[in-house]
Amino acid sequence: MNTFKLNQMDHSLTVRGVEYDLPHVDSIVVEDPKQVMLTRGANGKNNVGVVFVEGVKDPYVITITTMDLPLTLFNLLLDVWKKEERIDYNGIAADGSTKNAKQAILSTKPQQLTLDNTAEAMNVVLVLRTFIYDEVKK
Amino acid sequence: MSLKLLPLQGWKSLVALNGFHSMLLGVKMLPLYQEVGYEEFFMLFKDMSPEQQEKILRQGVAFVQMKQDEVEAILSFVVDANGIPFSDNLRLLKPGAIVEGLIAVAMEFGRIEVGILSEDEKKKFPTSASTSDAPT
Repeated sequence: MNTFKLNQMDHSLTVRGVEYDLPHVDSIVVEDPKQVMLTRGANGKNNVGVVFVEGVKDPYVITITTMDLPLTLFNLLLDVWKKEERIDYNGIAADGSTKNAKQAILSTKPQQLTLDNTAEAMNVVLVLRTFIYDEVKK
Repeated sequence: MSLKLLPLQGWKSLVALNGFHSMLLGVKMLPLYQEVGYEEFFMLFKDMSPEQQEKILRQGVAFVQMKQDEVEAILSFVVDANGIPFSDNLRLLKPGAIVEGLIAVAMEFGRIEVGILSEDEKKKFPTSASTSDAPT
């Protein structure tokens, strides 16, 4: 597979050792804070520069927009957020390619913040933060 | 695996009861029990020890193809370690968990008094525990 496609993947969360299906996932956005940077002295004479890494202290931020979560799972995630427990995210594509995050925290309280008559109003956004994220393409 | 069960109540409990009887009816159709009618087979089942009942139900789960809505209804009364009903996580349930869930709920139906027979009909079958208490 060259690219992950949302509609060819199954998504789940592992909470307290049990894996739960996310039946409706609208989008997944992963932000990687780590950047390899280049700098040099302000005199501007050296054109090779010095390499350094920025953002090592910051976690990956994984934003999962989901909808129509079963109430029982919603309440479980709320409890996980309150107790600052760790969860895993698992995404698997039809060809076995995977996206995985481990030891993540739920960064924001799971809640339905918008109410109107659009489909987006049913969204619940889960924001995960983790230092362990990995993609394997097959 | 230790499973927790929710109280058998509400509309889904009736669908689950249908599933329980489908399972038993399927077992009754096996050559071993073909000679007896369903009512008699049901009374035999009620009088069995829990271990024997579980054996019968395992045969039922293994051989009887149940309807999806019956399976879902039965599994809605089984919750995992986090209190989530099995029916809310069907895609990721392993066959072993499904089997254990079906049997746990069916055993509960076997324990409670949800009979298919009236009290008069029960008296016809000498195997019934209820007949031993009946006035002579």
